[in-house]
Amino acid sequence: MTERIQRPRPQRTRPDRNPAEMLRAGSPGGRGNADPVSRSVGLGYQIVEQYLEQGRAFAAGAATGAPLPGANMMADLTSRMIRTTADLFEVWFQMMDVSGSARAMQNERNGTAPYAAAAAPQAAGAAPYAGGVSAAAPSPASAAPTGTGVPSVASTAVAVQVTSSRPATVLVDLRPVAAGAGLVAHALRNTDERIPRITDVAIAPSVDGGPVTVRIALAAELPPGVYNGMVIDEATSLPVGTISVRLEGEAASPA
Amino acid sequence: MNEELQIVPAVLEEYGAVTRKALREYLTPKAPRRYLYDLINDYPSRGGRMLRPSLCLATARAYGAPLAYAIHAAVALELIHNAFLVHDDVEDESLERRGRPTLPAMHGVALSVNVGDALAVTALRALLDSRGVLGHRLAGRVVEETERMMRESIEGQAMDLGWRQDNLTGLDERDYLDMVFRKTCWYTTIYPSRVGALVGGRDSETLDGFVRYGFFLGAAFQIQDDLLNLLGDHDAYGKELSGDLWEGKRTLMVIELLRASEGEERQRVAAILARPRSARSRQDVAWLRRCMDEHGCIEYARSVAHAMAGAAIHEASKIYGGLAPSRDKEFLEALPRWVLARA
Repeated sequence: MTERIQRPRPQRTRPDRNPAEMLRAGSPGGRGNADPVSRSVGLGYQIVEQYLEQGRAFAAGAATGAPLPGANMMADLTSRMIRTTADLFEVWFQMMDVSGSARAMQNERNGTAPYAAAAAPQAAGAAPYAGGVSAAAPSPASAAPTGTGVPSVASTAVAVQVTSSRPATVLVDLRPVAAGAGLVAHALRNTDERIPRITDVAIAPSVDGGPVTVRIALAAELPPGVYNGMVIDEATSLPVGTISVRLEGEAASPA
Repeated sequence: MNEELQIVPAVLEEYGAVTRKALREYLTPKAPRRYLYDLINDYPSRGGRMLRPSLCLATARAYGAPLAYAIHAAVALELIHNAFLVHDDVEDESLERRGRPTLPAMHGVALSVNVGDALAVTALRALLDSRGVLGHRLAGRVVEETERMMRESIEGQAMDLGWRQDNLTGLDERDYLDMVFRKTCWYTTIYPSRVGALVGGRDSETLDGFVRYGFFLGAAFQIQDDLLNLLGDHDAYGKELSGDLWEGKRTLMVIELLRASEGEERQRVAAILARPRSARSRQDVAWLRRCMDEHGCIEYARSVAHAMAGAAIHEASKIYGGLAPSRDKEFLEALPRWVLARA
């Protein structure tokens, strides 16, 4: 008599409709079908993303409420002012887009990405203090930071060279239309009219597809603070971006 | 070791030496030496790879900052690490640390707890000293990051200790990864890379990517460390082999053993884990170890460690891909592979 061939007993006889349980080890029905590699990486991303989401929710709540304990009121105020200034620039540029420079309208027709800073403020180029000598900063090619949920937009690659005897952070925002245009920068000014402006700002255009280079020299006598200025398209005289410098440390006494 | 990974020990040695030199400024012996300052110097003087401060310094350098920007955070981190080690050794009743008897084994619990507290307070001094280099605003951001890192680590440690105290046997991979995320990853890999990017980029970087990179790198590091605890060479490892089994730690291999075993075998595993360390016999530990082999727990944990390292490589390419080529960038990108290759 031959042995009857039998189908192996199934691990479960009903559909598993709980996606969370499918990923949990030790759950009824085992650990699901995923192998250790894909399962553990999937779990890892779940844990991290959940955590980051909690942090974002907390930050959103904290931003609308009272200053956090221990926060320096002046620093907080300055930071809010910078944010307001940046927002105003942003709104203004968006209005310029709507009211219609020929190039902006042409870009729109061509499906070119909208104003980069509207999606990712502060992202086109950021140069840390270079230690007192002129040094090129890394030049991010894309304006959109990863992992923010913001759609990625094309933008202009920027190299920033700073000459400064003190720590400074430089933020450069350029619209996509700035690529290939002849650019000039206005002097960078503080909100306090009495503070001298930063006039030694030069912009070299992109060569052979390379980055636009922004060169800034910071005088030792400048007081600490934030200085902002616009970047202008020479051909149309329209604004195509902004430069912000946050200067830290004590100013040198005039000789 | 693979040739492309040779950069890791070279950078660890270089930045380790820089950190040790700066660390000595904060560990100058003074009275009361016998009961405090000599003991504070003990663990930091025993060596160690200096992974954490090196990761912090290399990240800052990769962003173009001078070492001076990150050295105070690197020193603070090493001090906090040593504070955690002392308290860990008390909590775990560990006998050996970096090849020598632990502080509580030599000097008792009371003095050891106080030494751990002193190391943590000294770290605060290093952070305060960073104001001169970074300015008040950026130094304040680093202090915020440090507070967050310490809180996360302490929460993770609470989970680890509580699971053992209550002899939890129904834990799974998610529980383990969540605990490791807080207990190990935050202070070993997430904080050093976040703070390095924070001071290197003068607070202009989005730091979420460093949580992802740090999590996967730290998880690979911890699982590999747990594997070395079972399989490593005693002299190279520097701690008692199978110490985690003696202490009843819920490593990934133990969690997998509890999941894979059934019936009487599972009851015996749970019963051994429920005993205090002093009541566990050499036979108990050897039996647990054999069961792990039979159920493929070692191979399983190795697969997960490799998966975590792979995800870390992916995340590294996202956060460091735009940076200019440098030795520091190479080091950061090589770390996930090195974590698995270390003995």
